[in-house]
Amino acid sequence: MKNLMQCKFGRSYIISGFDESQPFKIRRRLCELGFTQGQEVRLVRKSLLGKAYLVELRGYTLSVRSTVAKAVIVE
Amino acid sequence: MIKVNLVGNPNTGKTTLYNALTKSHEHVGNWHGVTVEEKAKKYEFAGKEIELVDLPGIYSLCNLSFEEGVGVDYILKDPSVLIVNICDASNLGRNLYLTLSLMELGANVILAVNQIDKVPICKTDYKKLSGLLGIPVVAIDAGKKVGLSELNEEIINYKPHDKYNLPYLKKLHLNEINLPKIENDTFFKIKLLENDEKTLNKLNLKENIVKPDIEGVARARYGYIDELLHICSTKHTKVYGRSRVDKFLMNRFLALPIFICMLALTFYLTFFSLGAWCSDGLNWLLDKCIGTPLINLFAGAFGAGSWVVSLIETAVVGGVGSVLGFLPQVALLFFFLSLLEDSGYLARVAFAIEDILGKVGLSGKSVYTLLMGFGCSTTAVLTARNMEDKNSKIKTGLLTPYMSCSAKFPIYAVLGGAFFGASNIWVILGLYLLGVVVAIFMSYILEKTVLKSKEQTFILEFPPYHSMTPKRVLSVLLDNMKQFVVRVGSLIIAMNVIVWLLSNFTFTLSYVPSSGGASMLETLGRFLAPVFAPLGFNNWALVSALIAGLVAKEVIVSSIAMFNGVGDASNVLIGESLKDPSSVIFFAMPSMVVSYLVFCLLYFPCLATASVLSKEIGKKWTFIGIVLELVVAYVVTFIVYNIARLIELYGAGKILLILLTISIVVGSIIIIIKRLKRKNGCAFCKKCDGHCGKNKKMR
Repeated sequence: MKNLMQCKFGRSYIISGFDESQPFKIRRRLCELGFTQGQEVRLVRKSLLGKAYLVELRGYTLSVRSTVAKAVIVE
Repeated sequence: MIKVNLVGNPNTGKTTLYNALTKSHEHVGNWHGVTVEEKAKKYEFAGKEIELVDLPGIYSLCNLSFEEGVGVDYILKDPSVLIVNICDASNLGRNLYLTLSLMELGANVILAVNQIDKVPICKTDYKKLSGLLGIPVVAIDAGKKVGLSELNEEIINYKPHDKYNLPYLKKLHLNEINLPKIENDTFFKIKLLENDEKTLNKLNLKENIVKPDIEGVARARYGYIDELLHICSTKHTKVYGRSRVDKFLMNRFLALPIFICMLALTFYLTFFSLGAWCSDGLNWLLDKCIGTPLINLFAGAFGAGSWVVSLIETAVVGGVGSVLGFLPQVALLFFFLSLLEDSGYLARVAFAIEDILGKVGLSGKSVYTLLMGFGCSTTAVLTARNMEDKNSKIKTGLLTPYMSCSAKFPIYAVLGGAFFGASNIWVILGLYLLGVVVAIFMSYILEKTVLKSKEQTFILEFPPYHSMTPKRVLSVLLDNMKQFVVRVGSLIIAMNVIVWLLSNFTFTLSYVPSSGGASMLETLGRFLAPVFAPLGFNNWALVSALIAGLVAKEVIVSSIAMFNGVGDASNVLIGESLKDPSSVIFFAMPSMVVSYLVFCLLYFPCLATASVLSKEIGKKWTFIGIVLELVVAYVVTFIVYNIARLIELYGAGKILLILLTISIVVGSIIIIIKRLKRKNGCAFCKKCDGHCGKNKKMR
C-alpha cells in the first residue's frame, strides 16, 4: 500500500483507492478521469523540481500535481 | 428551428466541428480549454434551420474550473435540447463517461465519434455501439469534414428516445435514496452520490442526505463502458498522447531551456528577420502607392496648407501608415502562437513550467493565458477561466496585461529602432523579459498577501502532436491579417482623428497652426507632464500620447508621428524626427527612450482589456489591478531610468560593479539573518526546532 508519488517510474500499479483526507472535489475529478479501483496506472516522468507528475492510464496520458498524485493509493 | 448543443470532453474537436458546420472561424487549438464561453450560430441543412451552440469542454456534469461551469450550466438550463456529444475515437472509454452522465440526465443525445488521429489507436464497430447504447452514433472527421452530412441527417431526423436502458444503475441502489417527488429523480440521486453542490442548492438541501460515493458511481459507469468496449472495440495498441519526441522535449533538465529557445526564435523571426523584411516592403508600398497619391489628391482639391490636407497627411497617412506597416509582424506573431498551440507542444510547456508557476500561486495551465497575452491581452484574459479557484483566476487575469502584447511592439520598434539601431533586439528582449519578471514577481506578492490561491490540481490531458495543414496555416494568417486591418481601419483611424482634432484646435475651437496658442491636448499634457519629470519625459506630447494610448497602444506611435508632423508611413522618418531638437517630441538621451518604453510596457491594460477584466474578475479587482499597474509602472520605470542614466554618466562597467556590490552585501545580510534565526533551532535538520531526535543522540 503506497500512494502514487512513492511509485517507481515506468512500472505499472493497480489502484486500490483514495486517500480520504484529500478534498472530495479532487477525488471526484480523478474518478471521472478513470482512476477507479482495479485500474492499471503507470508513472511516466516528473518535472524538474518534482511538483508535477505525468501519469498513464486507460490508454491516455495526463499530468497531475504531486499533491493529487498523493491522493491515489496503489498496490 | 432545431437547437443543438455541442458537448464533449476538452480538446476533442468541438470547435473544429462547429467551424466546419457553420462555416465560422472560431479559435481552435490543440489544448485543454480553448473555448471558454458558449457561441451560437445558425446554419441550414436540407432546407431546415439548425442553431448550433458550441460549449466549453467538460468531463462530467460536475465542474472543477470556471469554463467547465459555463458548459455544465448551459446544458442543465434546458436538458431537453438535442445534444451532439462529440467523442475522441482514440480515447473513447474516457469520453463515454460523459455520454453516460448525459444519458442519466435523460438528454437527447447523438454520439459523434471524431477521428482526430490519422492512424486509429483502436477500431470500433459504431453500429454495434449504437445498438448497445440505444442512441445514434456517427463517425466523423471534423478536420477533414468527413461524415458531416450523415451527422446533419441524424440531427434532422432525430426522434425523441424511449427511456434509456442503463443496466449499471442497479449497482448503485438508487431506490434506497428517498427524495421528495421530482421529475427525473435518477439523475438527481446520482448527483447526490456525486455530492454536487449545485444540485444540493437546487434541491434546497443544506446537507447531503446520502453518503457520497463517487468511487462507486465511477466504478459502475466505467465497468459498463469497459463491457461496451470489450464487445465493440479492439484493444488499444498504443498510448494516446505519448510520443518519442517527448523524451527529448520533456527531458527534466532540457524542457525549460528548449522552450525559451523556441520563444526566442519566434520573436527573432517575427520581429527581426522575416517579419521585418515584409514590414519594410509593405511600408514602402503603402507610402508610394497609397500615401503620396492620397495627399496629392487632397492637396489638389483643397489647396496645400488647408487643415483638411493636414488631417489626411498626419492623422490618416502618417498615423495609420505607421501602424499598418506592422501588419506582417503581427500576423506572424499570432501565427507562431497558434503553431505552439496547435502542435500540442503547449501542454508540454505547461508541464515544464508548472514548478515555477506553482511557486507563485499559479498553475502550469496559466501558461496558456500568459502566452496568449503576448498576442492580445483582451482575448487572453478570457482564458483565465481555465483556473480552478477564484483567486488564481483573478491573479491570472491581473497579470496578463504585464505580458507585452503585439500592440506595444510598434512603440519598441519605432522608438528603440531610432536610438539603438541593430542592438535594439536586446532592448526589446529586455522589455519582454521585464514584463514576464514583473508579472511573476507581482503574482508572488499577491499570493503572499491578498490573493492566496487554493491548491491547484494541474490535471491536464496530454494531446498527441499534430502538424498544421497548409490550409490551416493560410487561414490562421488571413484571419489575423483581416482582424488587424479591421482594427486599424476602424479604431485606430478614429482615435487618430480624435487625437488630431484635440491637438490642432484650442478650447475656443481655433485652428492652432494658423492662430497659434495651445491646443486642447497641449493644455492637458502640460498640466500632467510634471508628474513624469522623475521618469525623464516631462514632455506634454509624450504624456498626451500615453493618454491616447489608453484606448489602444498602437495609437501611441501614430500620435507621436502626428505631433512631430511626419506625414509619411515610414518609421525611419518618425525615428529621425525624434532625434531632431526642433521637433515637438525630442529625446535628448537614450535613457529617456528606455524609460518611456518601460512605462508603455507596464502602465495600463487597454480599455478593451479593462472592460473584459471587469466582466471576468469584477469591478473592484479591475480597479485595484489598474491602480497597481500604474504604481508598478511608475516605480519600475523610475528605477530603470535612474540606472540607465547612471550608466550613461559613468559607463556600464562602474555601475554594474556597484550593483554587484550592493547585491552581494544585501545577499550576505539576508543569509546572516537567516543563520541567526536558525541558531535556536536544530543544527542537524533545517526544518525542525529540535524535535527530530538527531540531536538527542549527539547529546
